[in-house]
Amino acid sequence: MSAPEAGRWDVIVVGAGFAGSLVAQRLGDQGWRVLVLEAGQGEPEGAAGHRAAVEAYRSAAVKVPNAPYRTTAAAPSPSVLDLSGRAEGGYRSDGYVVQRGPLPYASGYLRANGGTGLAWTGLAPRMHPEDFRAGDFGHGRNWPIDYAELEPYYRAAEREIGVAADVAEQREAVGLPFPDGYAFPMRAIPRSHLDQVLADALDGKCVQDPAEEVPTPLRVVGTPHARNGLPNPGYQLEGNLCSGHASCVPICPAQAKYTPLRTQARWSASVTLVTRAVVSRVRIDGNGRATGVEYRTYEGDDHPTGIAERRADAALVVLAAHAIENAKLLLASGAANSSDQVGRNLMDHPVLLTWGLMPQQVGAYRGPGSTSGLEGFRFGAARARRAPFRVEIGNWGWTWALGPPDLRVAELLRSGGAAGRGLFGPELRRTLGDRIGREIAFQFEMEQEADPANRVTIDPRHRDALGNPRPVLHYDLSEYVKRGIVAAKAVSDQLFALLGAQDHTRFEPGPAWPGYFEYQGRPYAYRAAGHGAGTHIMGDSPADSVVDAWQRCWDHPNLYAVGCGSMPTVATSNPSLTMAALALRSAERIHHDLQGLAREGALSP
Amino acid sequence: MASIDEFIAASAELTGFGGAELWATGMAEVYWAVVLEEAGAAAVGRLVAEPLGEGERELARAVAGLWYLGSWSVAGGVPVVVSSAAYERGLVWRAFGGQAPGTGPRGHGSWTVEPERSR
Repeated sequence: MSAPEAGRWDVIVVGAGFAGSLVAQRLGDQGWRVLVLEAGQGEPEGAAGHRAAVEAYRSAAVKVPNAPYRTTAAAPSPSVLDLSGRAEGGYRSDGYVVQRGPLPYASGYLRANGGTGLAWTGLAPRMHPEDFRAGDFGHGRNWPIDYAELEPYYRAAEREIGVAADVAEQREAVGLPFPDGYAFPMRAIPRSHLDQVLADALDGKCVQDPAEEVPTPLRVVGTPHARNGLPNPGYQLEGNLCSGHASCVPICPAQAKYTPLRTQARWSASVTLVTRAVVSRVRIDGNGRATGVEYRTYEGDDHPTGIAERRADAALVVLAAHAIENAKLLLASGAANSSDQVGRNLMDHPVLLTWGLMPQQVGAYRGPGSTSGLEGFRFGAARARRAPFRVEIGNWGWTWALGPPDLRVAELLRSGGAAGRGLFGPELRRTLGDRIGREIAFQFEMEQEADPANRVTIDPRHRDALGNPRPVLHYDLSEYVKRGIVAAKAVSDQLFALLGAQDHTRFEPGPAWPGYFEYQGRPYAYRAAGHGAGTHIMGDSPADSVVDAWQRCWDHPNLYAVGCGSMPTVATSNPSLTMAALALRSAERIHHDLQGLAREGALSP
Repeated sequence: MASIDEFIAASAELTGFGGAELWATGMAEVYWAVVLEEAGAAAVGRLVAEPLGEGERELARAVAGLWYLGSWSVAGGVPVVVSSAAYERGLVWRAFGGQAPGTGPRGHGSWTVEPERSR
């Protein structure tokens, strides 16, 4: 069966999310004919689609990251709602992803045009130079490239997605090198009132990290954002200024947050997007070259209909479908796995949340989800002893830890008051008015080291509605990560004490905490940041890595796997900016490869 | 049958917001219809007669929850958001001088200023 997109392309890009949209844009700008195949559906499109998605968010009973966006049974998306904890400890998983590990992989992702980049939080910090050699500390791996190599691409990515930050603060307080005279495209997003209250109480104080020999000094530091701040000279703002809707995850009503749809709007006419096109296999010829892909198109959301088998041919194929989906596709294709590392080294950011009530009103539930953090636990010798972590100061009260205020309201109505029969009337109003605006949370994002035992596999017994394999995950937290969580909790205890805040943190097994575990006799629980990585890990040898420093599969000279799946360490920064920088760097190499193929006459006109 | 005015008076007693404040949300008629539909006239009659009595305590919780959150929730059930407007006008945000996330734009940097309630 033929389709408009049949025929031979210069490049096929699988996945129209963060990395795929960037690669397609750069290659389209060079005049290459690019076919982008997106498994999910194409909404929200245009202004009306955006409004509909905002309405869907506001009307959703549970405002999880995927809530505003339509998903389809033909390209299922895992949701955080798929997981629940058991009363006796342990978890159950009922979604698209099959989970078999001792602990759950607790992140979702979104298969739709724009990908998880629609729902992302929009924080865009760089990795630190030390993060590229995490293996030197005895845990995880080193990168085949260093910070200096990636630095120009960080700048390019910051321009492409539009990053707002203060270069002097990033240089001084995070230790990041920048070229002289560099300015981010936009001025820093203003810090929240809560950040200021915390800075007044914490800056210059110290806490004792149990893994450190000396106390760690505290400083509240602004975080780079991929959302619109006031533009610096020479930068043209796209979309509106951030107006503090406090719903960055899952949707920015003002469209101030970057999403891949913004990059797609810049695509040249030589880029063709087909949505509802689920790639099932990369075709590899006898010489190990990728020749194209097989895919199925479909209609309908809940029940796929009109399913059609299709194929497309290209000189070069780029997989950009998400770390887990890329691994699934490579495994289903029998591709790129001479190292036996495809699907292994699955990483995420396990997040320890702690929450409490400040002594005064702090203006919770305003502004971006986090505008500042504490950077002092990310680097240094302690990294050899426990996982490093970045501390995000949460502006949205207890949302991530316990959900929005709904549950607190319900609890007061059920069991508040002197008799424990419910709180009503002026006392209810006063109690809520007093408490909700004092809610604060710390979000400790832990580095998880590459461990080959944490992995994605496929199993012919588990298939989705189109017959494609569902990802089967085995996931756990190492002693290294758990020691990091112990250190983070100790830091949290001291932060609450310095703030004079009431610590309400409490971990117990049950439905709300699938990531519950006990360690050294104490209860802990984690959530996850949606930062899946490592499944087609990058390295300097085909013996123990899947892709080279260009994200090109060692086994196939014209097959690239791009995205967070290539990262040898997920470090402690939110990974999307690094993914973007890597994608832009790969696009240059792909352009070079295509020029070579054209010279050899391997491209059809 | 109870009237909408009796419903608002009962709601004021349950929520701690005055009748005029409840009318000002713009949700009064919608909620009146939701409550009648979900609970039935007889139960609503008992509630408005004695809002804080023991007889209709579950209904009292559901009605207060409706005003505070914009969603209808009964014990053991999954909450249903009445509409995006209901979510936006939930009293829980008003109670501390905030706004429902994802609604009503403020200005760039509005989150830097001290919240009104603390002044």
